Amino acid sequence: MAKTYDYLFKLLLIGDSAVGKTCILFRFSEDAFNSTFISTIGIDFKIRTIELDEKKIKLQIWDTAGQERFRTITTAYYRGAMGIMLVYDITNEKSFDNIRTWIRNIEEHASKDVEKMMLGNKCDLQDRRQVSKDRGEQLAIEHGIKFMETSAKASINVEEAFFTLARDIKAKMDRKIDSTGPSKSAGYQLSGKDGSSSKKSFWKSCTLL
Amino acid sequence: MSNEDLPNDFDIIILGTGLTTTISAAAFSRIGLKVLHLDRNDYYGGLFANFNLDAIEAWKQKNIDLSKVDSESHAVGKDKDLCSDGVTCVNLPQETAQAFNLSSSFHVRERTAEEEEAAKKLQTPFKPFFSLPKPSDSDSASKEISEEKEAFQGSDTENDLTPNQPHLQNKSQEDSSQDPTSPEDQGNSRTQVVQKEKSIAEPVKDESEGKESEQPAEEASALVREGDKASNDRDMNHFSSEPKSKNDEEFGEKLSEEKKESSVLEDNIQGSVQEKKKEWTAGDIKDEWRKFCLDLSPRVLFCCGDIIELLIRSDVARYCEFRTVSRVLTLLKNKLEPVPCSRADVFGSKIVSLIEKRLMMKFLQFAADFENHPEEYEGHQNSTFLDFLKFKKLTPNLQHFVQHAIAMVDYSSGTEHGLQRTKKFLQSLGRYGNTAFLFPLYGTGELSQAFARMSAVFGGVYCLMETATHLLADADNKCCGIITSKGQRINCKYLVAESSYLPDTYTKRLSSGKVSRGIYITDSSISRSSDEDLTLLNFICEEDSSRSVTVLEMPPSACVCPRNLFVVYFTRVSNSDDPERDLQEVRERLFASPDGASSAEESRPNILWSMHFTLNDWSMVELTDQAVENVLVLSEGGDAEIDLDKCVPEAKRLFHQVCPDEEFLPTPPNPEDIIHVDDTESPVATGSNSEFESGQENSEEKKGGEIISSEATDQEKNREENQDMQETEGTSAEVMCDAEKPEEGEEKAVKMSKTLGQENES
Repeated sequence: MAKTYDYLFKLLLIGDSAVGKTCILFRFSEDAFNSTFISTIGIDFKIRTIELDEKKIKLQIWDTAGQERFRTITTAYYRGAMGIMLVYDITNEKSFDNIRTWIRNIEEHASKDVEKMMLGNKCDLQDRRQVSKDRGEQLAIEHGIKFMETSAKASINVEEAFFTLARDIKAKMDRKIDSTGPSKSAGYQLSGKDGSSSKKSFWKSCTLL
Repeated sequence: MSNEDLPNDFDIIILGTGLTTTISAAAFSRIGLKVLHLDRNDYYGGLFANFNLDAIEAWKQKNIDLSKVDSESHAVGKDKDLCSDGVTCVNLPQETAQAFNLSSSFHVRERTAEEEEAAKKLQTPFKPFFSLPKPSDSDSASKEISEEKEAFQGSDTENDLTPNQPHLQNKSQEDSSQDPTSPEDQGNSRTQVVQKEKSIAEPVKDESEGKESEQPAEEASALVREGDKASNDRDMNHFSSEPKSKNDEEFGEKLSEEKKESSVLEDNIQGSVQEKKKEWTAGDIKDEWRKFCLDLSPRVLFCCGDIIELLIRSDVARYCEFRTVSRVLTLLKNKLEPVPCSRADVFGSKIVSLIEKRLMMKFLQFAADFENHPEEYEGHQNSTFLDFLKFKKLTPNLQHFVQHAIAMVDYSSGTEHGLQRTKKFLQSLGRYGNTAFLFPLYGTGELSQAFARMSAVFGGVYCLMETATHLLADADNKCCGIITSKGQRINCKYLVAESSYLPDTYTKRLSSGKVSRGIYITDSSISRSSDEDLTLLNFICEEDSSRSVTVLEMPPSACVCPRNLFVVYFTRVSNSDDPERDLQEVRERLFASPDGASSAEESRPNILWSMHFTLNDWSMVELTDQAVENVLVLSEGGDAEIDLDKCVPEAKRLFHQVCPDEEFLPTPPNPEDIIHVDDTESPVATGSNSEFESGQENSEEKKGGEIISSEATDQEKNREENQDMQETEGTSAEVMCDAEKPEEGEEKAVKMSKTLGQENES
């Protein structure tokens, strides 16, 4: 079967409960929004394939499965993540304060070179704003990460945010390829060969008794 | 946030997050029951937890402190109280120590002041994008090693009989992205590889972590990483973008390569070239604390065992990655030898003679199907397995292999038990890799977390550092709720708990005995080879051969330690309260002595850090008749088994006690098939915002996302496939089929994973 993408990135959404992580996920993956409650039941992750520099990039975005609620995210959740969206709610001071805690968490459990980005969600609710855009920007600069204000409901910046994160991950990867000398793997990445035949024969030959 | 109260009503409350408990939690959540899962600790896993270096030291200290408290005063207050509303309130026990006789220490010197300075300068902890925290000295040292390693490899491969081995070996060692079809010049490839080592000064964990990214969308079979996969995938660009099908192809390719390797192994061991070892200091190791994943209960998984089947069927496998245990060693005539366990191994082995090969093949063929040939062992049911092997005219060599390395039974084991174990081993051969076992990357502790996530995905509520202080029983003596350590009363219909969460009077321990465990960080492998082997060794002690020691050695590619280090686990059924002494013989045999090595020992690994402790075997418990109804108990482990297959039947049995007619962890719908219904067409009025905010808190509302099984056919197919497979396994386990059966099961597995792959593609 032919490959439908060139890259696959695993992204995580992290942040306090009710900051709109799942809404952002649905806005991005299905361009939908549910103002009541989008159930995360039964949903591990969502997938959307985007195109950057003529490369198809499959984004696999994992939700917390509600385990952030009592701070019980498993360490296993962070394994293999290449990008993390840190989300807070601009109408909720506490969720902004907790970003630091989440960053500490990431530093302890995620890969060291994971690409991070911070989102202040619900920016459509200007009249209830508790966290100014400036403060968001300040915190982002402090941690050397990018920042955007988003609204999953009004569909503001959600696309842009994921594209930015994906672009940064891709750039980092490309840099790595450069720094590790001429990449022999570059040719390999794109070919979508069907491995089933060799696999089959392998199983046969490998089954021994 | 964390101060928030828990919801007040659940169907099932579960206490303790050990593996068996999380499996049952996932099963309950999966069928829609409301599950609250608590653990008194701030980590998942209970006795199956895994820790980084700092955390395991903290765990040690906590258990030392707890065991002191234990002896002083335990019984506080009354056992029962009557609450105002006629509900009886039963006190639940305080936390007690999980492990005993704990000790840990570094066996290397501290850094000098200058080294400390240098290390500090180079360290930029937690600064993204600039992560090259390795001290310069270790850098140059690792370079040296890598170069020497290459040289070692080169000389080694020249002796090799298989023509394409050198090229493959180089490839797998460093970079699988090299084009395997172009036969490359040896010298050239070697220098390239060294270059690579230099430029990738990054921590191994980071590199291999990224690799996981492709896993969830991948086929189930591909999540099993062949032997040195993790080390192959050093290039981030490579693993993340590597097309899956190619990956599979490579997977197969490398596996077949691995087969050959076993025969090469001997040469490696004999011709073990002296590598210059880096001198580690305690500071060097402490700096890498994050990169260790040390298991309290390290286990391997039989490739055809219950847990593997469950992981695949339930899709929990998407949360983990595995690699094969790449070699099984045994100590024969004072030397570590690879065990010929497969047909190819037996034929390729140099340590068994031609006649022995025939005998061995014949015996293994019989053992794989022994139930259908009762005449072969008739009259031997009451004799020991060893006597039976002698009767079968196996030579002492072969007796050793079969008894100690394949069946892994002691001298007192009966014939049938030995045959069953042999058969289980043989059945698991050839499914993934060249031995019968898999190991989860990052450690066994990942598995309980994976099942916990599955439970959470289906609505299970998780809360760590919280437990029940009281159990509530109604007038009919049925459990109806708990009071949490924060004083909240929560109602439930059933309470499932690990034995340590229940009063002593409720539980009866059926298993007995203790287990001594040693965890070691070492600087090289117990038996060097050209690859990063994950090794299993069943070590027979001279001092007491009835209690063997299970040795598991993890290379960095198992993602449990930083580069150039190894983690070794010893497990032995204990008869003393001195685990360090209990494991002394094997330690002295496999590792260099701490007080300056003699020449013969120089090639042995040095212990850099060690920890010893004793666990009580709580692997079999049952409730007494004093227990309140609707309380169920699960074991928490602590036994000396090498695998996890006890957990699955126990969790399943418990699940069916509560839900007799429900399916146990069926395959969930593909996340990509769950379609969210946009509500823009039926906009909610002005109150929507607050509803939106509070909505997420309310676990009652589960309607927003609808599960539309538009791809039902695919899933149906998938499910059928799974069932098919189960049946295959079932029959082969019970009835025992012809010798080809495992292969059939194998193809099923591949087929099934293909279906999964297609779904993910679409």
